[in-house]
Amino acid sequence: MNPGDVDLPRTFSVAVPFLPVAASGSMNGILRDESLADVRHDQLRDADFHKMLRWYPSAWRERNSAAVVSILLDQAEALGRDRPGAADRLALALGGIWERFVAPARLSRGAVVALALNAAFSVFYFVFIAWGPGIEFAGTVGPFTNPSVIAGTLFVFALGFAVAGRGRTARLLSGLGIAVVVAVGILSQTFTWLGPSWSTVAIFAGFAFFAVFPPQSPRRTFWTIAALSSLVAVLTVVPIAWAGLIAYRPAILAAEIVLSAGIVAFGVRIIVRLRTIGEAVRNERG
Amino acid sequence: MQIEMREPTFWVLTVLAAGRNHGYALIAGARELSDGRVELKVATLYAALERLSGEGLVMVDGDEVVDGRLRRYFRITNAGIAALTFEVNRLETNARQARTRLQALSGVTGLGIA
Repeated sequence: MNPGDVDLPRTFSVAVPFLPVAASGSMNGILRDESLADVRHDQLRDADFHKMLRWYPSAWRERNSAAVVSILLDQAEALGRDRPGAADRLALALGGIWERFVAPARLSRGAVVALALNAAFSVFYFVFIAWGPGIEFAGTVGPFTNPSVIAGTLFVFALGFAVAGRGRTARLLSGLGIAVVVAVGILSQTFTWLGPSWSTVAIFAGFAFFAVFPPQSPRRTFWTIAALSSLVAVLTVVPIAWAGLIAYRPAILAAEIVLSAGIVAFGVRIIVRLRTIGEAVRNERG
Repeated sequence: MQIEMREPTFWVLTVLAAGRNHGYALIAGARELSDGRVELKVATLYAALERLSGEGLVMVDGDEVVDGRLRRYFRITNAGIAALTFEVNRLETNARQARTRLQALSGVTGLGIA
């Protein structure tokens, strides 16, 4: 065999890895230079079409990319084109963004519980901590003492979308909420605003992070929610209840609301968990 | 209450009502049946097919490799036939009402309608 020759199998499909173009000399009549170049051309073209699907989530691509690229290739051939058209590229980019962030999807129960607790904490924070009409101070936003209410609003909407079956939108809003609350936290500490404190940032961002990246195992889900709820209890309920005992009665009510929400969420989670265990035991017996 | 069907959904179900078919044939079929008015984008087609599969109106009916390309076939389900029938009845009712009023109008103005 000459140095430039390539040892090729007798049959192969376009799915084989990239082949060198420079295949010269005799190859026992198996494959000529032109056909090898054609294969490489087809591979490059197919790769170009596959690239158009990079906007879609990986799970979607695994499910559909082969069939979708085949349609795109059929269309391109029918139109006598060798490359994807601009309109197709744009439509697939928009479709991928839709699929990634908007298309209906259910979140796990743990993620919904985290969003519910975050929304409950947001409402609590709006009403009992950040509400301060008439206060003139750096960082105030309307009647609120600091801009973390923007993140809180995103978390409330995230819960709404999650309940409506738009899990991807809920995750997007939660991710945005994390960015907002962390940025506001840094600005607050830098310019001495009236909040949010680092503990508030940790609670907001912690629950939201859990909703965006829910743990895969039920055990880890349970303990993550338990840890975050404990953080809420320690950082908000205890000092507020203490302050309420001294002077401010409505704060006690607020503390009770948060505690009740947390306890109910825990109860639901434990019941669901026990039912799952019960079903598993029954299945094993059956 | 059933929600009004969007046009891509309508044409996908209409093409599939004639039998199982694959993606490219669905695009070509929608173009042909709509006299070239509807040109489904691949992204639109697959978004519709994924949603319709989730709603149980269509189902995947196997994959076949033709000339090295994967063709995924779909077929309409009984629920899809029911949904399409409902939509056709709705469109016919709307068209009938509009035609009745246009005929009354043409009687007054002397304008004819086809």
